[in-house]
Amino acid sequence: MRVAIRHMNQRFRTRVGFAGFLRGAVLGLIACAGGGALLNVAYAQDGTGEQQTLTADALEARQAALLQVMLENPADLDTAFDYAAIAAQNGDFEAAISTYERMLIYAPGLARVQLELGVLYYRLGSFETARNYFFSALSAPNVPPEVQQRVETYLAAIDQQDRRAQFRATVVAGARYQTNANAAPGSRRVDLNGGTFILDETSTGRADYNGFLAGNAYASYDLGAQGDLLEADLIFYGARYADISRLDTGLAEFTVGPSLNMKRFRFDNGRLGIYGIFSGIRLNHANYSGALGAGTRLAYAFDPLTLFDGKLEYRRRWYNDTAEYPTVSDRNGYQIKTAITVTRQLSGSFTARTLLLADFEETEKAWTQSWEVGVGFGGTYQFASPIEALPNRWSIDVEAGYIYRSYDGPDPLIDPTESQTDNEGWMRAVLAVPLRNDVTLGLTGELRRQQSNYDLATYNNASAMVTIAKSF
Amino acid sequence: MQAALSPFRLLIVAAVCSAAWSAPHSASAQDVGVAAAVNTQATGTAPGRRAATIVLGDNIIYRERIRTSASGLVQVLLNDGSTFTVGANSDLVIDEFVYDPNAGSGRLVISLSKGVARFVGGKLSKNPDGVTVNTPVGTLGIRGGIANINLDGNEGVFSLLYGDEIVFTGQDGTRKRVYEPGYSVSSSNGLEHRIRRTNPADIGRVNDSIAGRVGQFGGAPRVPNNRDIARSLLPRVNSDLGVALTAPPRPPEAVRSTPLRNVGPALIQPNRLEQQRLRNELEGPPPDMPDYPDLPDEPEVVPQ
Repeated sequence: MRVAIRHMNQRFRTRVGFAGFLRGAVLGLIACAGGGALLNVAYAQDGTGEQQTLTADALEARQAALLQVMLENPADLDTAFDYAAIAAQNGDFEAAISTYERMLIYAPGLARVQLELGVLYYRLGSFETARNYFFSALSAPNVPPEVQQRVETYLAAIDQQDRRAQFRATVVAGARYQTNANAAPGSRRVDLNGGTFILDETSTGRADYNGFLAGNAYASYDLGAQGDLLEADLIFYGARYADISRLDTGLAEFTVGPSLNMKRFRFDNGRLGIYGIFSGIRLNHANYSGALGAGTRLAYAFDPLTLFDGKLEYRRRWYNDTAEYPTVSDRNGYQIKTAITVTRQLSGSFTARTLLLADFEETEKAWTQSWEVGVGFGGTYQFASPIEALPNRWSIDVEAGYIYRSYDGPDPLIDPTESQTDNEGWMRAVLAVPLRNDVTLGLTGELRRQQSNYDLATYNNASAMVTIAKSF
Repeated sequence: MQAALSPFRLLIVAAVCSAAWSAPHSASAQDVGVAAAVNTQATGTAPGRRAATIVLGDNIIYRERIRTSASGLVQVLLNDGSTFTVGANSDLVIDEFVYDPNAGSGRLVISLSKGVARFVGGKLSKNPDGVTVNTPVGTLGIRGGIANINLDGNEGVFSLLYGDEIVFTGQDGTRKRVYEPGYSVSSSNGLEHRIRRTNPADIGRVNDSIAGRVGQFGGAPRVPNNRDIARSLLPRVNSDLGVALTAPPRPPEAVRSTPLRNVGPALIQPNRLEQQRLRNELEGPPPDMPDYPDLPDEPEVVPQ
């Protein structure tokens, strides 16, 4: 990781006296030692004010060197300022805090110091302490207007983030075109029990458009037990197709349960959720299926850049036979699903992820009962907006994956000797264009292909989708 | 609570102890840090010596006792980068300080018999059992981060502002562990110990105590002003970034429904649906249910 530092030349000038000599000597040694090839440049270019970059190791070495200088002369303000700034860039906000709290001893009530301390504590999530410093800054006489404005902005942010009850939601509206909306075989000719069968024209894959409205609402409540929360999450999705109305869909899934702060087990930066699952799906304007279940999810940050997210879910599913789908109740049974995602931020603009998933679906017929395993890889790249009027960073997300699926028994109608096995793959790319802080335009392209030893299960589908998402 | 010291560390401690008793009060091996800010009156009493007024820049040595008056205040900057800022009417002794800068390991033991203090961790606090604070109401272990210590007679409030944990062990052996910043352990009369949310008064008292008062300058020969701060580098990498870029990370969500992008393949499973529908077509309509003649209603039984 590289951190950009703006060079402040006037504060790196040679100082008179022992402290200045010592500081210069130490910094010179760092530069000569190699950790600071860049430092050498930074300190040599007096008066340019240009942007410099330092590696994390160089920042740490420089912070350590400045600490030694500060121990020799703690009253040297320039050294202290340098130390605090380098520490903050190095992510060591504690060091910056202790230095600025010293400034507050030297200059009691100095509003700008209180502002910086408030922001440093805010960055650590220590909201009550941040709030205290911000209030102190506002109470100082002759508060600079820009300080007052910033303090009020931060106080508003703290008020929002420090609530016991949190709520956020996203509503998405979109349109989608699919070359094979019904995920049916592309060819009318299918092998059936050793013979060849010609499907009806309407039974093959058909292109169609749909419009949809979807949303996600999340709420949490702090239980007042050192970070334990009650969390609830709801998704809903409704789609109408232009032609194949039997695919018209309405569904909702609701999960609710406590999440435990895993620090209690010295498992820092981890959270374990235990939740109930309730879902219902309507298809073709009739009840299609319902499910009750339970799940557990572990979210754990190995380090600030690496996040593990693993879940295990059980669902008992009931299907409702209808005139269009008269035998779906054959799929009544339970489902056990697990999925693991590991996300790693590789740079300031690129995040990579790996997915592992497995699933078992019990049904009433052996030829519909299956297990599957899958793997996926993806990444998100953020970049500067190419349109000046849209200043927020854009992102492109790409994902590819593969699933192997095996069924428990042969279908006597299709092949009495061989069970169905599927190989399913997908590739997806999503361009996200923030139109405002709370509105994002999304463009998605996806290819999905399934190859199966059962012709009825082999299909290709390409889709293009445009969405507009509003977050609350 | 105290971890056993390795022979190497014991050797260092012994050397430091020996030096502390034999050397004059000047920069030397027994120095554990420096007085980085001092408001009068603050006195330091080195082992075997008379109390002397502490001034900014004085080296703080092993087992030196630091006392502050009703207007006194001291920030001790330790060699590992930790700071211990004590407010008025405080009484502090650094009992042990072992620090290996190359490994970042070591141990700090402090006794605070009264007063108010804030500890801001440096390298040592990152180690398990790296920092211990003895108080009249109990012992505090600090791992990582920033902690407030607020002693008022037989009562104490110990707050974790940031970091991994503080572990309080009362004089009665009761052990309380705070692992979530924003919580405190309070102790009353050595008997009642409980964990609770840190309230604004907890923070306010410590913040007021460790900041200077109007007319005091911490002994600084040059006092910073708003212009110095505005021209320094920190605001550029801190408050100038704005709320969005400085927001602390949210705790991860551990209760989540199926992601919206997966509702199709995960919940609707259109291919399975279509395969089953086609299979039904190929198989033909299910056999009709046999027609059973309507049975006459059973005669109603009328009780006699």
